Amino acid sequence: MGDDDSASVRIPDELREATDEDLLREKREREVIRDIEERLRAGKITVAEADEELVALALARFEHFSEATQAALKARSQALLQANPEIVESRASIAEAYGADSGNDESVR
Amino acid sequence: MSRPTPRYVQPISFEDAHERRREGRFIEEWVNRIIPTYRVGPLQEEGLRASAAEGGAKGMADWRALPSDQRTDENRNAFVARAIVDAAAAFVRKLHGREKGKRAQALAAATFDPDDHTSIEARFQGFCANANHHLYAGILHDTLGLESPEDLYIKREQQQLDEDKVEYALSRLEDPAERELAHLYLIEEWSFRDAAAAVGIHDRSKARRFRDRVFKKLRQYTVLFASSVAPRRESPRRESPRRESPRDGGDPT
Repeated sequence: MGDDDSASVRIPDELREATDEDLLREKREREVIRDIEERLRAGKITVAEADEELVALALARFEHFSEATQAALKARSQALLQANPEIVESRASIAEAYGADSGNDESVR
Repeated sequence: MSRPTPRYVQPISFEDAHERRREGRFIEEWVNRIIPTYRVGPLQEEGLRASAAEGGAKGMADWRALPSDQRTDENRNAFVARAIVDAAAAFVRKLHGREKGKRAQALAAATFDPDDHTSIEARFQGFCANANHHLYAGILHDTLGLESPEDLYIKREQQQLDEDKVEYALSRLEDPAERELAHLYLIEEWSFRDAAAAVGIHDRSKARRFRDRVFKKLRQYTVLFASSVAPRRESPRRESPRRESPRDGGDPT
């Protein structure tokens, strides 16, 4: 006959959303991102500062790794924010889209 | 009352049965030889062994499907061993949640593409992918403290893949100036200004446009490499016989 699917139990969406750690984390992340966007539009922070907050948020996904690993990741990410030309240059287009200041140090470039 | 003979009750050739048993032992020998190099925990060993044996059986079936003049002992060793290694590697990748596609994602995120990060949300996803890449794609090979045997295996595998990736992407650059700039800037780690000057570009904005063009190509080739390598490792297609086994090519029997 048909496939035996008696072993699969359907979890209600509400329950899944309230207990699934990944979904909860994504929800928290969306809230933080929305907050960053609002502050960016209000001119309270620059794109460079927003980038730092976004990186910190991204690194929070790796909290279960050892401290040494997290420190190494943080150091790499900080270096990336300052040195990667594509990240630095793309701040201008983000700044334009959100009506904010890029925060790039133009004298250095 | 007569009943139809079940399909599975077919006459069995004595020679065939004997051959299958010998093949089983042959695969088992290879599994015993290869499995210790993966050194997973005792809880995972049985699963790893089963996956490897299944891979070995597929390798043997592939070998049997070859034209008769190619069904040599040498090829049988190579096919079975390669299939066992592929299956064991896939098992270990799965243990770490790194099944097909994740590698490609990590490699694609190796460089930050501004065209793809035009919103804060997308930018955040880019940073996540970058951190993931730093963690797993071998950029922090010696500094992350990943110490378990499985992690060491992943690091070793990824180091090799990174080398292949870079070699492939650079080799696809057709313009000698582009190749020179990429080599000096990315491999030799010259400053961007010096690397651009070495290929005869002294104007700053011109140099940036040139670099963006090179980076864009490298990104495309990197993604191309990742997407071509991932599925091949999952289900190897062998159009020509391999000459050597992946480990040492010897016959375990």
